[in-house]
Amino acid sequence: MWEGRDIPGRGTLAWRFAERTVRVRASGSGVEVSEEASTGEGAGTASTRAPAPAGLSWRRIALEREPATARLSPRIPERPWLVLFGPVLELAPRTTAAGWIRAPLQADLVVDGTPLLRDLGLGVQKSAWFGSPQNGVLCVAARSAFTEAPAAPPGTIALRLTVRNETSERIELARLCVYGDSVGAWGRADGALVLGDSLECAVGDSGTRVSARHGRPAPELLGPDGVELLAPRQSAQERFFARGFELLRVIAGM
Amino acid sequence: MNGSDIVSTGTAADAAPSADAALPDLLEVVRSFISTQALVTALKALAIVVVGLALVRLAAMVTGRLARGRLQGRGPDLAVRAVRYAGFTLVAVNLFDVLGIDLSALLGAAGIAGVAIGFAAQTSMSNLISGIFLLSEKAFAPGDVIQVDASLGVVEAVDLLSVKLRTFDNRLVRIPNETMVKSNIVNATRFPVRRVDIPVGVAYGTDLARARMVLMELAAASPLVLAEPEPLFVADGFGPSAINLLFGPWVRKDDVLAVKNELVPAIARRFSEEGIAIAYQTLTLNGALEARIAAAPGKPEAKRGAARGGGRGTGKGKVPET
Repeated sequence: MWEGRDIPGRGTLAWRFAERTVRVRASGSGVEVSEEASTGEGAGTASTRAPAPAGLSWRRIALEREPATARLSPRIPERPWLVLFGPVLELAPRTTAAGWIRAPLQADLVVDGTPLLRDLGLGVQKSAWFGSPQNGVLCVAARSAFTEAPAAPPGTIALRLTVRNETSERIELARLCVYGDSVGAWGRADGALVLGDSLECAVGDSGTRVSARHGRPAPELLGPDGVELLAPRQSAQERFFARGFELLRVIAGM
Repeated sequence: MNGSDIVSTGTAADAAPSADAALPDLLEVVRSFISTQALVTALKALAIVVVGLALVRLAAMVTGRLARGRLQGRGPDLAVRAVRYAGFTLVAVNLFDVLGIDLSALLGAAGIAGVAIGFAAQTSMSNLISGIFLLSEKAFAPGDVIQVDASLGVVEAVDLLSVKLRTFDNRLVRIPNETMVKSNIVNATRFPVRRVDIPVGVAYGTDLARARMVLMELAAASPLVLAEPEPLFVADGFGPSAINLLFGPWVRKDDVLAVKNELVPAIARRFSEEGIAIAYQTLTLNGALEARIAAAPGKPEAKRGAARGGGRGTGKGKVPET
């Protein structure tokens, strides 16, 4: 799914995900790219088909020479995910729940080794606002159930999540903001499953802390041909210092 | 001077000794003028000018750096200018003092002139002070979309005397700062997200739960509408012709118009598909009135009269609005 494929002289190269289909075709010395909503049929496959359906909207990108190969490179969104739990996760005081959530992935289109398009959405593109209407952060919306087993259709990423209720009251967790810059991704080359690093969430009286723990998932989850698809953009230490400076700037009014 | 004005009083030989005598006199005058005291005064004046201007420049630079992080728009420029003019005034006062020029008369005259100018420039001064309040209040900044009374546009500049707005049909509106201070200002782009309120009137008898579900589905399908906060849905009340609904999806501030252009046609189309009638004011003629009109086929006058009267006389031919 993520490996390079030849761009056919005639016909279209198509990657099918659960919610989106990305198509690429050669156009003289350039490529044309189309994205469309998907029915989910054939999700997780990359194939060459003869003619593309009519009525698609194509973007043309001029190149210096005729394109030969193309691949999609998975990417964790730059914007944080806002995980919207459905149903709401309820936790008794001083208890911990462990499960899986899923979030949308993005991809870069790489043609002949050169990234041409960044941040192609592989799922339904939906934004969400985390915070008050006056102050907050724009996120990628990730509607997800809290499941016992990883369930990530092609185009999404499954993340193991541990939630600890450190308060003395029962809590209902309806949404969780996750910064993806410290999350790495693991998966199988066929693209059937993408797993992210484990997330640990602690809900206390002073707020909610979320941290990622980088490490290879259990072999029974990933299988023998699992590889690291993406290293974290920032290590936990880098993230700590970056966020610390951000906080300092806000406090000092700089 | 022309040729007739030249008066010759002697020969060139006569003029030479008088020039020799005048030169020492001139030197004496210059020497007396450049006395030690005068030299000291001149040096003091020079020092005040050089050091004073350097200090003014330094103060302006420091003020500019401090103001740039704290004030917005033209604020830093205004602060630098104020410091510079105050500095120049101080330098000038000190310079006059050193040169022995008495400023009391000048200041007295300036005071009287100030009062006169103050009366004359009352509006300008009011605008100037209002401008300072506007800058310190930070209710808007260049680039914001604001509405002041009937004027809606993008703030182009916040100047000393006025605020310049560029309307969306590309006209420039100059609003005096005094008016700005006295008016209600609506800043449409202050916050990063906004709710777009779309009022919808549906016909009486509509399944409101179904209408709500359709609206929420449309919001969920739109990539521009934010998933969180959830769109607002309010069954707003009973209108004369419709049940009024208020649908308010949240969007990024830059997407307001795009969302309106996307959702309003989508709502009309989807309601039509779902058989949900969007209500509008209608005039219904009931059966009794129609029968009366039909009874007088050859009397167009009677027809028109009946239609105008709306059957009010009979009590049966009401013209209800539905």
